[in-house]
Amino acid sequence: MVSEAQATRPGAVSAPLRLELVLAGLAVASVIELLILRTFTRTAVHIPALSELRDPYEALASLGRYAYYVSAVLLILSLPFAVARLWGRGDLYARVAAAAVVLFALTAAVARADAASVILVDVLTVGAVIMAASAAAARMDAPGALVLGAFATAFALQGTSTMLQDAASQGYGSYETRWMLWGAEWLALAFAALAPLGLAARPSRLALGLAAIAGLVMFAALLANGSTTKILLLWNEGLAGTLPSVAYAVGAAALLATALGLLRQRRLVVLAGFVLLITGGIGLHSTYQTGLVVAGMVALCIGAREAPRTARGTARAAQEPSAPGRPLASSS
Amino acid sequence: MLILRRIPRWATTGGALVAVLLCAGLLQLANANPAASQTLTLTAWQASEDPGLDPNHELWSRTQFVQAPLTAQAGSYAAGGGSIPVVWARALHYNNTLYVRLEWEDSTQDGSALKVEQFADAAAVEFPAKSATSVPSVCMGQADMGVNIWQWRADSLGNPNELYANSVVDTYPSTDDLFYTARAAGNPYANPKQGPVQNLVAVAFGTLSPAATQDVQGQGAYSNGRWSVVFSRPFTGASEDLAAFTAGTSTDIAFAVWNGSEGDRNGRKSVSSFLTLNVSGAAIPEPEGSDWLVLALAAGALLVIGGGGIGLGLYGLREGKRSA
Repeated sequence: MVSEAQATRPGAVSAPLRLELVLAGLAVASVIELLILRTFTRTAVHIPALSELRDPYEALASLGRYAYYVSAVLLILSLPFAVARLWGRGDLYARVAAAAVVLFALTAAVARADAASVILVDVLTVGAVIMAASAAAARMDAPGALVLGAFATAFALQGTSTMLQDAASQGYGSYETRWMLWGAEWLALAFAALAPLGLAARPSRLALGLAAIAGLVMFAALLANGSTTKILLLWNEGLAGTLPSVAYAVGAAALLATALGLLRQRRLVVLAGFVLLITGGIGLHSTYQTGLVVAGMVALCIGAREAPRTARGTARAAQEPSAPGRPLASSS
Repeated sequence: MLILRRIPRWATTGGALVAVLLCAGLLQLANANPAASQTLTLTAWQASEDPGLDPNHELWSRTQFVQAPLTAQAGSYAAGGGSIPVVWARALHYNNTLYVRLEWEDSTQDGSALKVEQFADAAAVEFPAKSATSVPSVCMGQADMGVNIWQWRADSLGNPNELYANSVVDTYPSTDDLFYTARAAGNPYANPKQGPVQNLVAVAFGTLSPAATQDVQGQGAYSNGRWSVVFSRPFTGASEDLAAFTAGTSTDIAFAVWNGSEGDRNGRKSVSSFLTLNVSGAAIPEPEGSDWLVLALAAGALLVIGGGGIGLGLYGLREGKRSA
C-alpha cells in the first residue's frame, strides 16, 4: 500500500492515482453491488407488500445498478493500471500476472463485441484466471498457494464444465461434467474454510465472535429459507448448495474471520484481493464477475508479501525477508 | 506524469473519483453494459422433421444436450429438494413449434399421488413472459416481469382406470361439472380435457395460476431409472403473460424437477438458474465433424496454461524458500 510516510504527510504532493486505491474502491463497490443488486433486488421482489414500497425498492435497485456500473468502471480502470505496474516490476510472476490481465481484457472486449466463439471466450477467460492465480500463488508461501490453488481449481472446473456445455450448444458433442461441479463445490468450500490459515489472517476475539455469528446466520438461513439462500448461492457464487448446510456455515464464518483478520493486520491490498475473489465467485457468470476474480488475483499478487501490521500499526516489514524479486507492494 | 505529481494527491484522487462516478452514471443512463454474459446456452436447433412428443424419437439422440446444475428449493425447512443434482436439456424447433426435452436420473418412478403421503414426480420449464423487458426473478417472476411455466406431472400419465384399478368410486348420475367439485372450482388438473402439462403464469410468489390458454403439450417416459419428458408449444404466445419465441433470437429458460419419493411438491423441488435459450435457425449439427479438434485445442490450451501455472507456483515456492 501507500508508504506510511507518504500517507501521513499533510498535503502531500505527488502520486498519480494508485492501483491499490482503485482495487480497494473496486472491492468496496463490488461488495455494495453484490449486496444490493445481486442479493437484495433478487429477494425483495417477493416482499408481499412490495407494491406499497415500490418507490423505495426502485430507488435501492437503482442504487444497486449504479454500484454495478461504478464497479465496472473501476474494473476497466484497474486493468491498464495493473498491467503497467506489474510489467514494470520486471520479475517473472508479475509479468505472468500482467499477461493474464491483458489476456482477460482482450477476451472480455471480444466477448462484448460478440466477435469470437463462445468456447474460445470460455477457454481464454478460464486461462486468464489460472495464470493470474499462478502468479499470485507463486508469490505466497505454501499454505497461501494451497488456498489460492483450491480457488483457482474450483474456478477452472466450473469454467471447464461451462465450456463443455457451451461446446454442446455449438454442436460439438455433449459431455458429462457433473464430477466437475461436485469437485468445484468441495474445493470452493475448502478455499473458504482454509482461508484464515492460508492468508495468515489473525482475527481478534471480537472478529472470531462476529464470524461465528455469521456462520450461525448462514446456517439458520439455510435451514429456515433454504430455497432463497441456495438460489442466491448459485447465482452469486456459483455454488449449488448440495453439501450439508454446516459446511456453508463454516465457510461463511471462515471468510468473515479472514476478512476481519486482514483488516486488523492492515493488509489492505490482500483484503481487497480476497474480497474480489468472493464477489467474483467461481465459474463463468459474466465477464464482469470473471474480471473481479482476475483483479482479485492481481491484488493478491501485489499484496502477497505485504507486511502484516500489528493492531497498533507497527510495521513488521523491516524484519521480514524480501520476496522473490522486488516487493510489489512498495509505492509506485 | 510530472504535471500530475505537482497536483496535491487529494485533488487527483478526488478528480479521479468524480470521473469514475460520472462515467458510471453515464453508462447507467445509456443502459450500456460493458460486460458480456457467460451463462450456459441451450440451443434449439431447426429439426428436419416433426419430433413429436415421443421422448425417444430418434431426433433427440442426435441433439446435443446441456447439463444444467440444479439446487435445492425447500419449502420452509431444508429437508427436501436438491435430490436431483442435474438435468439434461435438449431443444429443437419444427414448423414454428418449440420442443424442449428434459431428462434426469430418478431411481423411483412416482407416478401416483393417490394417498395423501404420496407425491408424483414432475418437471417444469420456465420462460420470461413476452412482456418482460429484462430477466425476471427465477422464483416465480416479479410484479413488472412475469414468467410462463410449463409443468408436467407423472401422475397424469396413462388411463386413471388402469392406474387406480383397485379403487372404487360411486357412479355419478350426472356428468354436469356441478357434481365434480374440483372441476367446477376451476382446478385445471381435474379437467379431463387438460393434458399432462399445465400452462401457468406468475408475477411473484403466491400468484401462480393457470394461463387462459392451455396449449402446451407434453409427454413423459420412464426407463432404466431415468425420466424423459418432452414439452411442446407453438412459437407465438397467445397473450403478453406467455412466452414467445422466434427463430434467430434468444430468451431465458430455467428448469425444475420434483422427486415425489423424496417428498417434493409445490415449492420443494430442485431448480436451476436461468440459462440462455438460443432459438437457432441452423439445422442439428452432424456428430461427425471437427468437434474433437476444437475440444482438443481447448483442452490443450487449458492444460498448457494450467501446467504452466502449477510450474510457476512451484518455482515461486522454491524461490521463496531459497530467499528466506
